[in-house]
Amino acid sequence: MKTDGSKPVAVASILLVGAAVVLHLLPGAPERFEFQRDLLTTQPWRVITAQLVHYPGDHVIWDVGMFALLAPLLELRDRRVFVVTLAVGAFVIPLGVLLLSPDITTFRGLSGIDTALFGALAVLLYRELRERNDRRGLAILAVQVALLAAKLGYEHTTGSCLLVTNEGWVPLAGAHIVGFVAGIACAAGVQGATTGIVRRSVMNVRPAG
Amino acid sequence: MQTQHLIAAFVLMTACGLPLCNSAQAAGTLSPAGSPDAPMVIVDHHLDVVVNNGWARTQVTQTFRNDNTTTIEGVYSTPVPKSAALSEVEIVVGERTLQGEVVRKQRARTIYEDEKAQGNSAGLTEKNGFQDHRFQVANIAPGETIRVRAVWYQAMEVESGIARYLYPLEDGGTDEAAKSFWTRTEAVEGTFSVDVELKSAAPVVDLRMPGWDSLAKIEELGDGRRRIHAEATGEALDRDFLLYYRLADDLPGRIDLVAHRPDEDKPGHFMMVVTPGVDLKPIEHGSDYVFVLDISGSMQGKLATLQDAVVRSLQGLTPEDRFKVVVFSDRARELNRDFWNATPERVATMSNQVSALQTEGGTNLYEGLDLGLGGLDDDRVTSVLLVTDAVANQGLVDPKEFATLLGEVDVRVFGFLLGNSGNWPLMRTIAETSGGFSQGVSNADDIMGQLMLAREKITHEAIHDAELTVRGVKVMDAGDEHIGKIYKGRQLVVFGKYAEGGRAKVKLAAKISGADKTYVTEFDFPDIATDSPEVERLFALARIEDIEGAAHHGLADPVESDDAVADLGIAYQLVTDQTSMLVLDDDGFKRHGIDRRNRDRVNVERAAQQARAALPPAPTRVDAKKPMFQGKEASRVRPRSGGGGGAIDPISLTIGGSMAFLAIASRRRRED
Repeated sequence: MKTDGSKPVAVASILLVGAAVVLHLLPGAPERFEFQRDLLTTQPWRVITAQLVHYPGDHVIWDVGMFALLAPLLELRDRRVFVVTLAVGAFVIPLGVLLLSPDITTFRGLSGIDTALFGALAVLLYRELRERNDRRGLAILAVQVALLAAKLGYEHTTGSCLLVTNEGWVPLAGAHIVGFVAGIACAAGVQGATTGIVRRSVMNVRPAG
Repeated sequence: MQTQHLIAAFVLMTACGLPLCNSAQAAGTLSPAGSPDAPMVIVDHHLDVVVNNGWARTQVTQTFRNDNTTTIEGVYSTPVPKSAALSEVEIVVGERTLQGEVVRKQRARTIYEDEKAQGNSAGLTEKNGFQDHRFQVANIAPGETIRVRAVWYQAMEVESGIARYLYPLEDGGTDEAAKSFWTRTEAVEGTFSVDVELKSAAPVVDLRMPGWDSLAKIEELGDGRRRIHAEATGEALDRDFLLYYRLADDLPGRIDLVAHRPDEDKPGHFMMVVTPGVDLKPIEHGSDYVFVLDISGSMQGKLATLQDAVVRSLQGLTPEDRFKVVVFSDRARELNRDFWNATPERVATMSNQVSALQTEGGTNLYEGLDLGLGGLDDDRVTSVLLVTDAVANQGLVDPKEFATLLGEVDVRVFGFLLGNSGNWPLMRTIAETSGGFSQGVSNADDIMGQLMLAREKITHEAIHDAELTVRGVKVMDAGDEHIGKIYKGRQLVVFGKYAEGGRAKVKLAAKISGADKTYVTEFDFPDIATDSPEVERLFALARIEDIEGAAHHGLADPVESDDAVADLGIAYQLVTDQTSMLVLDDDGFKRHGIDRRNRDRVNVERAAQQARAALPPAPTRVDAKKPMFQGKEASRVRPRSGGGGGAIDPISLTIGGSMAFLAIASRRRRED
């Protein structure tokens, strides 16, 4: 959001980070809002709310920390991409859990959204860097994407995190890969559509007279 | 972690597969096989449960009808709930109400038969060992309807903040003689309803009722209060009712005390629950596992599940772990003679062997266990997973022999008893002698519940050599101060009597991985407390189980033990193996010179229940001012196969941070 003469503020990102922190501190909230496969038909809203609640310890710190880092950057860069990525990610990530991890009965966390934001931001950056023909920037971006992909692959193969103690929960690498792909698709789609509209608008402009 | 896989898969598979079992056994009315009389009709069945902090009161009210043209005796059988004190039985026949008093088993039987012969209305409730409670009602006239109400109390099982309540209905099919003698009718003609009032001082965040969730209406009356109602028509009494509820995360380690001392001149009774707030680490090194599996005839229908469970469990091991599989029926045999490292090839070979097993013969549990305990390596930690559904009926069957056998080796036995009506006393003896634990698996149990109850206890350090002492207040009949092991997530529940109120210093001295630990607190035992008279019956039940356990271990004379159990049963009015509930009208009790102890006790309990009904759950924590533990209760168990979380860690954040840096730099360059 931007008001005249003031710097833009990532209001949605701040609100979501605040909500995640409050829900984590609120006694009983994580259990009330987490996803439970058995309650899918009676309390389907949990598939969405589950992404705002976390397990104690490392889980909440890293998930919310990553979101707090990436979400404002994306929101301020392209709010439409941000909103579409959140909206699509919020649905396809739980869908990924349901379909790709049938033995998972509960889940929590923003990590799927985090990877979606990462994917979306990567697309925006790629376009910017390519437009400027910034080869060094493109190389760095490629390394970053490759590292994240390798990390997701490791988790998918081993079922455990690299550095975080994940006693009591398992990293949902399949759902994170879904999130990552969804982020890329959302950003590419929105930007592609925008570019098309702009192009059509430009082509429709005829010189006066 | 591989150990967690093993246990998780094992319990998961046994729990998942049980509903596939071909059990048609259930609670229900019994009529002699071949009898010309039609069985008693179960008109309706109402379950009314109040879970009040540490214990549950279960009331079952049933209506029966005699559709015959002759007068008959009604017989109803239901599985014995684990550690439950049957305390009230009331029968309403027309406008007359008969009430129950507990007397010696033989005397109760003699009086009942006498009343029956004289054509009087009378009832009798007996405990048939670990197998069932049997209710008999004499002289039910043609077309007559009777209503039977029974009440029992039991301490709640709370582990890792998850409480489990079980109302057993499905019969375990372990009583072969009864199966051939009786024809069972379990259909309910009318309504089968369930009402649960849950009152917990700690916030309740979730409820589960496997199989009943869609029928249940849940009212939320406060953080720790819920009211549940469910009903169905045309049900059969052939599946258990299970309730799980979860307490809030991050509750502190604590001591709860519920005391009852209505009279200053007499000792009071108490229930003290210690919930350790101690950080117990996972066991990471390779271990040895011995699977001891029952493949007797009664396991038919369950064997496929067990085979799958063992195969899946083996696949969860790593090559550092070793395993051995022993199966038993009439005789025991090893599927592999020496321990095998769990290499992929060995696992595949054993999986094929296990998959080819067939059920056969009787149950020689002793020989199976004996063989499983042979050839152990003293330098490695060994766990025995004993899975059986039946009663030892071949070879040595005396619990003392099992205690002696297990006293000779240093292993932990984890017993999984499948279905209801299993031989709990024997399984408890086996598990407790070895320092392990035993766990029942109901057919109604779900994956989550079972994993939560078993997995982390086995795969984490345990508090060992624990000793709980109370000083400053004279405590009696509270059992041995030497507790032994406390597994992760488990509570320590102590029942006892105390002479008078005062300041008590409570100390838990124990070891964790060999290091000495001491936890101390102080709190008051009340001089007068009248809110919880039910604690007296729970105390008596705990004492009875201790006495029976000592007899099973060969530490007490059987005759003296039986007498002590009978004395406690009569004093506290509990149905035991030595006492029964005789149900007569007032005149009947006068005729036979029987004191109305139970009527007086029930009146006191009802008054307390009415006083509590309108109040919120009373806090029971007593160490809040001087906490015994600095840590929190064992973290909520989230099974590895069940709880999903994030993949974000320092590496991800570093990658994300570098991308953020790149994004900011790129924007600046663009703006420049």
